[in-house]
Amino acid sequence: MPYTGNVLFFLALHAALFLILLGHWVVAGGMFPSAVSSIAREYDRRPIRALLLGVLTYGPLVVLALNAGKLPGTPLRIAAIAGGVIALLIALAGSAGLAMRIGRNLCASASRWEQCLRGGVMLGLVFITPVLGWGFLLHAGLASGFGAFLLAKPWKTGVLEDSSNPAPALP
Amino acid sequence: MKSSTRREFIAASAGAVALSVAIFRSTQGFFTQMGQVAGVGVERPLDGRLTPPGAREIDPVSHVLNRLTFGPGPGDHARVTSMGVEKFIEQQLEPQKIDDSLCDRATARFSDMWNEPLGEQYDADPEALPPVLRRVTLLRAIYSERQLFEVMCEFWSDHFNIDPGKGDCRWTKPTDDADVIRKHALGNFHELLRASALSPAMLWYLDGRANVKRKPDEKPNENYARELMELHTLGVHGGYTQQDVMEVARCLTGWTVRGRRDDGFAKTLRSPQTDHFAVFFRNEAHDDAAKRVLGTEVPAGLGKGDLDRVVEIVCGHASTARFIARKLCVRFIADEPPTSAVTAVASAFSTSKGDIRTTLCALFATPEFASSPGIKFKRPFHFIVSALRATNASTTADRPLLSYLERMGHMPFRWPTPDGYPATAQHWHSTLLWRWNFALALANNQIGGTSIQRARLQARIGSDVGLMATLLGRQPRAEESDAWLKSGDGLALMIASPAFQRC
Repeated sequence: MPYTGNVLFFLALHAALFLILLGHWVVAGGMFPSAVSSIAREYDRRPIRALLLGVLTYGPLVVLALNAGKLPGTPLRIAAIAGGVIALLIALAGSAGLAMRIGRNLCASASRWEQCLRGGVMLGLVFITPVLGWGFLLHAGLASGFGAFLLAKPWKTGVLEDSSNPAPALP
Repeated sequence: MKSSTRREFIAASAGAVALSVAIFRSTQGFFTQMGQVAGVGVERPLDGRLTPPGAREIDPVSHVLNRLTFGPGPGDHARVTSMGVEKFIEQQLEPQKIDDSLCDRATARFSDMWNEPLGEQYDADPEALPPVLRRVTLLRAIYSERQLFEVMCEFWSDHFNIDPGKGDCRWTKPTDDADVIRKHALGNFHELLRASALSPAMLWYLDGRANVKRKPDEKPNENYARELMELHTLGVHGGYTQQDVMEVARCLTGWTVRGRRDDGFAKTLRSPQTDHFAVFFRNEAHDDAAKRVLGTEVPAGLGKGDLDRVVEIVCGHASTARFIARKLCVRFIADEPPTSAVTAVASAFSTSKGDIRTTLCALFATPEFASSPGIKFKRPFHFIVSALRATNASTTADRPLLSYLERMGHMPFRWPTPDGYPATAQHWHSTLLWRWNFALALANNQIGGTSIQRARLQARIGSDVGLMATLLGRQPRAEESDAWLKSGDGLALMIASPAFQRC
């Protein structure tokens, strides 16, 4: 029989993972709505290619970071860890596009950050599914997010600067 | 959606699966590394040559490793062979020069225990401190490269035994371990004895704090004085009398320790919280008249200087040299050590004025030491630690492991009387069943918080015979190899074997 403490530990771990993912997606959707929209469009157009590209680019960076301890020399280790962290952040921002795409199909009239939130809740629940979720779908989702980000090229199209609608006038 | 080719789909799916597997495997390694950094699941590195002993009988290298350490790990024999036995002994006698970062990592989680001032330990959970001290002691014995130092810490912990179960000892024993035992384990016996006499834990345990003479008709408490002569210095047949015990007790009156409760002995000098457990001298509770200890005059009016006179007299006594020498010879040579070895060691103790390093050097140089391989029966603590070291186990020394020591009656710091755990084999023969149970559980990774990488160890050493030789300190005999093959669990059998029980 598992200890109550162990059960609570795993519950807390899943809850934390869920909230972290959701937080990043909503922040990305709120800060760079156009960029996330363009990534969401890539998910419409070529999701398989996004996944393939992500596996080939994001995969090595993350695996290298997780094995940084085996690399020779501290500078190389730091570079590997830094590369992994940056790749993870980009993957999280990219997968916000997937969350937005799901959210858009759930409620087309909602604002873009709300679409991220609604879609993110559902996507997060899928990602924390025991074994299948955090063992496979999460990594595939993040890799596809990284790939979709690269395909959307938000740094070229200028959507990173197009942050949001102008603030409403004061009454 | 733009259509994707079948090839893209298959490649992406396979890539995602491969990535998940790679991340899963890397994550395991990552958490292991993080655990190692945090001191959880620390493992001695299996680098360098792991060449096992090649001789048919225990050679001098295996003998020295068996006696001066808590047992060799894989590769230790090759390392000591390449550096030479003399150089190894020399190195072990200078522990401060040995890098011990692995052990520091393994015990770092518990560092609060000895970094906090003694008074602040009063705030700690009294039930938590002794178990932590036991875990740290076990971890040090397993992971430390300063093995002789740890062996001597165990030796002096038994010699100056304190049961944390009495009074405030549960708070003060960790400090006694750090400031008395570990500080002087390879130093000078005179200083060790003085530090022990003024240890808050010892003052509690043997009632030194209650040894007062405030009124002319008040009788000093003789408890510590008796054990000082009987167990710590001269030995029971050391030539002292009841009169000497009473005189030493008079010399030591007035030393006390600030306590948690106002029980009369430190009443007038009760201190603020920060001064809890501070040792101090109460002049008004000291018998300052002249005394005579073992035929030597202690003049009146020395006050707290009486303690130094007593330490000087008892440490300089020939019986003390012989008593300590015999105990050391029992630990390192045999349960009934030859008189010639005891005499040589006692002589080194006397001429060096209690220098423990010099005394040990003399002991290791005796022909009796060299000619005694494989005749000492390991005590349970030694047996368990040697098994963990030989199998390169990773452990947190948590409750499941400690419970084996408890069942064998050798839990560190739990012997209730001041004589410490018995050093000779006779007392420990009844623990065989639990030794076998332990061997089976260890070999099959059934001890919580403790694990061995059996396949990896076997692969690194190269063969069954190599692993057996690593465990036994010599090449296995035909019947041992035969038993290894036929038993179905050769590793457990070898750890439980008579050869592994001895060192």
